[in-house]
Amino acid sequence: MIGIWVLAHREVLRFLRQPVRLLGSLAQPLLFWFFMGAGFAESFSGGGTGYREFFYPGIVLMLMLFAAIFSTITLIEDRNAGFLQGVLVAPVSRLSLVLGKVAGGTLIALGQAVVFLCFAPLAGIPLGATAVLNLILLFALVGLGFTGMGFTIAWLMDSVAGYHAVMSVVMIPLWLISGALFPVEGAAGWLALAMRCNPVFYAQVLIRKGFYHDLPALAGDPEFLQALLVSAGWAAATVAASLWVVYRRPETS
Amino acid sequence: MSSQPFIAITDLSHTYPGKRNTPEQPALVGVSLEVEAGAKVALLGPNGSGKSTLLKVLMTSLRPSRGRVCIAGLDLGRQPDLIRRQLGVVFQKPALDARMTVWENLVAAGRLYRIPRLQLGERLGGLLAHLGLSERQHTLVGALSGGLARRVELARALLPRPPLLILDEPTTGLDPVARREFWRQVEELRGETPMTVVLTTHLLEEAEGCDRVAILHRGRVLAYDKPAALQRQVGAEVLEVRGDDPEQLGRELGDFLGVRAQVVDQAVRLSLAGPTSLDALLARFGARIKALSLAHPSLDDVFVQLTGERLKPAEAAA
Repeated sequence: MIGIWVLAHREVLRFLRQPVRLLGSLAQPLLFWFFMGAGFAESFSGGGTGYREFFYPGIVLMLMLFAAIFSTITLIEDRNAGFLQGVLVAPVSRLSLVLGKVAGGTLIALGQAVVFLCFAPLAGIPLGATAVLNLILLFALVGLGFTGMGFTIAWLMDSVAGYHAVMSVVMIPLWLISGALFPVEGAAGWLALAMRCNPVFYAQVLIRKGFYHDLPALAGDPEFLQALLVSAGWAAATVAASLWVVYRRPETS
Repeated sequence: MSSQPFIAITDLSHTYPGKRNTPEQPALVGVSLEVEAGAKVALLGPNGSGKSTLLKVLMTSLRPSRGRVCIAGLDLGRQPDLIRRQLGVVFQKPALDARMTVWENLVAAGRLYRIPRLQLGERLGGLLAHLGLSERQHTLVGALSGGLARRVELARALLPRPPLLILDEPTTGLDPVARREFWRQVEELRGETPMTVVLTTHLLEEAEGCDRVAILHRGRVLAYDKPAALQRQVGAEVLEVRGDDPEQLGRELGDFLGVRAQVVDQAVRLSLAGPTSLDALLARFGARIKALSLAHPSLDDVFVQLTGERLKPAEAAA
């Protein structure tokens, strides 16, 4: 337990001590949201919703994905020359190591997403205290899945460049076809199918619905429940995969 | 104490699996070593000799392909978690978080070893004072000089009061003053709490200060003994002669002195069993000799005798 706390705490501390990372984590999604929101505003017909509003939950999802990527990318260098060397030879279980790192990454992603909620009124989505609380729970689950995925990939990589490649061809495309940019309803058949096979799609459903409805109301929504189930399964699977890769490849170099 | 060694390594071998462009690589071949409790042992060898691999096995970060290692009576293959409680490690590359302060780094490390909070504060205070770090405890590690950062690494390793301290080239990159200071502090702390120390180094004087030295070459242990005993094996003195055509000169010198000559790095080396007068040698060969030195054997000489190679080519004069 204590190992989890030490590692998660360190993760958050590091994040807060990097002002550029802190600034970039908010500026980048803001710019994306602003420019893409403006660019697609005229051509988008989303059943009464403007594109800036439609895209807002999607950009929150992107922000969380990037937060998870940046907090797990440090694993690659940390393992060979850094803090993690000491953790690996300390009496800390491999489960604590994984959970600590994943919890830290999730907290950072969650924190960033919550700060970004300040812009929700600009998107035309009014949020009350209950809605924010509900969203925090959903963000935690989504962040866990993203960070777990990042951990598994990072642990298998020998170089940061390799991770970047996977990020460009796997992780970002998963977001592109998650329904964050365009609704699944308007997509071509093959694309809609691909979207529904994508775990990030279900994270998108969770968050989008969380912006408009309270959890008790969503308890009767089969689409939401399906997304909840898939996201919970995805989070569990990625954490299990992280643990598996750590056991399978224990060497530090 | 029983006669059981603190570390017992039996027939240890490790082969790194091949990758796309690199073939399989045997890093350790049938290594057997015993280290008694409280001893300070150096693993000496050039890059690629297997010393880092052996250290990685001892610190539980690498599962060996074959062989058995027992530390403090615990089987490394079966009880790595229990062995980790016995270890303090100073890594070759920094293992501190540069964005955290000295204090934060050490508290994090201490908590990973489950040192109770109250005890941790007390121990840390003492250790920092001892290592002359008290005034720097709230400095970010990234802002420390190389020597100070190494001292923090040492503090991190010593915090759990480990029975076994593993040092992987701990003084690499330090200037001679910082290096001496580092070892002085290790020795002082070792005086207070008995510890077994295993280290790798490429500095001869660091190895010479150890109780025992294991000489590694291409994954094998070629010799393992007290430094003085290893040096005695070479002879009383080592004569090194430089001149034109070292092969021919070596043969003649060898015949003249009645010993076998080795040519290493264009220099003729001869191990002499006892004190030898150089007058006769100079009278006969003086004109052909460009440089000559006579010295007590160093561990480098031991290595040369065992392998025909120098431990540190091109740096012998340093």
